[in-house]
Amino acid sequence: MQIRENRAQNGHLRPAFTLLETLVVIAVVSILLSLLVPGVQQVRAAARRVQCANNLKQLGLAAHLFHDTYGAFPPARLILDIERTGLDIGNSVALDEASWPVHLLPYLDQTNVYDEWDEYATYLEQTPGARNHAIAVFLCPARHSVSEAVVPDEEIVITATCGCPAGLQTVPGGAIIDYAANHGDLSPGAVNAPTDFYWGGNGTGVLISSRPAGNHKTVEPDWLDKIGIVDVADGTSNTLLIGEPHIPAESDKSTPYNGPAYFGRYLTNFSRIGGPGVPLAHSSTDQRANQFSFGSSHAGVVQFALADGSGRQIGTSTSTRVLGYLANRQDGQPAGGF
Amino acid sequence: MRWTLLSILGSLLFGCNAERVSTYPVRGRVLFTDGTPVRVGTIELESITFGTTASGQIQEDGSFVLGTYTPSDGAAAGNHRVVVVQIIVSDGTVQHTKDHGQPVPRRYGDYASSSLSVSVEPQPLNNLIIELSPE
Repeated sequence: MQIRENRAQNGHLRPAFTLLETLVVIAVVSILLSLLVPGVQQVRAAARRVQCANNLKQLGLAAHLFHDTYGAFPPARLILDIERTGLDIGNSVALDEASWPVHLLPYLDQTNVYDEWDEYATYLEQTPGARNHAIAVFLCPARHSVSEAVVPDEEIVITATCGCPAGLQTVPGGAIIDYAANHGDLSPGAVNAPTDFYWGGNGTGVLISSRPAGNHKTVEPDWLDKIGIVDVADGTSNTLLIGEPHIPAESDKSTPYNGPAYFGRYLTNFSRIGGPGVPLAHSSTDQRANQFSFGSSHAGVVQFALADGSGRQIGTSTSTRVLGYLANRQDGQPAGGF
Repeated sequence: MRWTLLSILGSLLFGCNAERVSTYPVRGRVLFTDGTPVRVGTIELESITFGTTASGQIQEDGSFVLGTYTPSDGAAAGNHRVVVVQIIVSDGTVQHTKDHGQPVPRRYGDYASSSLSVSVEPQPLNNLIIELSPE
């Protein structure tokens, strides 16, 4: 401004920047900015990753507090296979009951939310306030914020791992979570049989699908197949507890990868397995991973809480054999030095 | 002097990949002994020498492409143990409306019980045919 005023009063040019000088300055500034911006983005991503790991640590601690109260880790969900167990408990609502994140609520300073839950009712019978209560500690800042972590009812065609799309179904809405319980490895099998890993008590992980101890419409909610620290035979520092799930971009905030997580019916909205055939996802577009795979939005690593409550990053190129050893609580393979 | 600088630059460029094993492209098909393809599942190769895992999704015609560090970069050279894994879930959340073909016997899904093995050669393309017994 000063230069232009001087020019107007005196009628001749004062010393000023030439075009070349201006261009050089602009060029230098833009080069500096181009160096700075990726640096800032990396720092922001690193900060989000740390926050993400911190939440995992909180969940690990909450699981241990739960263990202190009940003598076992919470079940991933309750599910009953009448043919296998011979335990016919009438109008069982087991499959539609709450999943592990709900059981941890009182241990995450969320007693007020937990009090909204009716343990004697199905997910569909819960109040919208209970179903739609997104909680920051359940979310990885690199993926979702609290304000975007509630999904509405969704009409969806779910494609199973077998590649076969089922018919259109409506998945009731609710809050999502960005962490998945370690349900174990594939060793019990998944061959359309009662011994499959997703039935109650078959999982080889730590937070597994368990059978209800009775009809929860009438008796005190309780469960069989309790997994406690004593059952983690490989050692709690060699076994995964909770980790980051693989979520492809097109399935973000959608069943079966990342849908309503308090609803026990859709296992892969809140649980994962790992091992041969179920590798860690290298990225959100990795076609080799599936809805049962752990994975993350961070480059090169997936973060976990181990069963001893500690945090750990595991490289995405970790062999599936080692991953299986870490996921299975009792395979006699402690998998040190991963 | 110039060569020193160039070699330093070179090592800076390629240094990040130092711990990675060289991989060679692999594709192929998984078939039952009667010639019908395995229609769904995952195939995985574990290098006996390096311990690396290469995996690929099996398509409807039994074909697959393997990747170790990226989806299609292949597998390390040498001998590998092989598993073929199918996950068929029937917990009531999905109905199965498509033909899975013959199921892959459970034993092929575990390195301890799958007796399959293959060799990957350090060449531009490996074409593998994996044969499974349906029993």
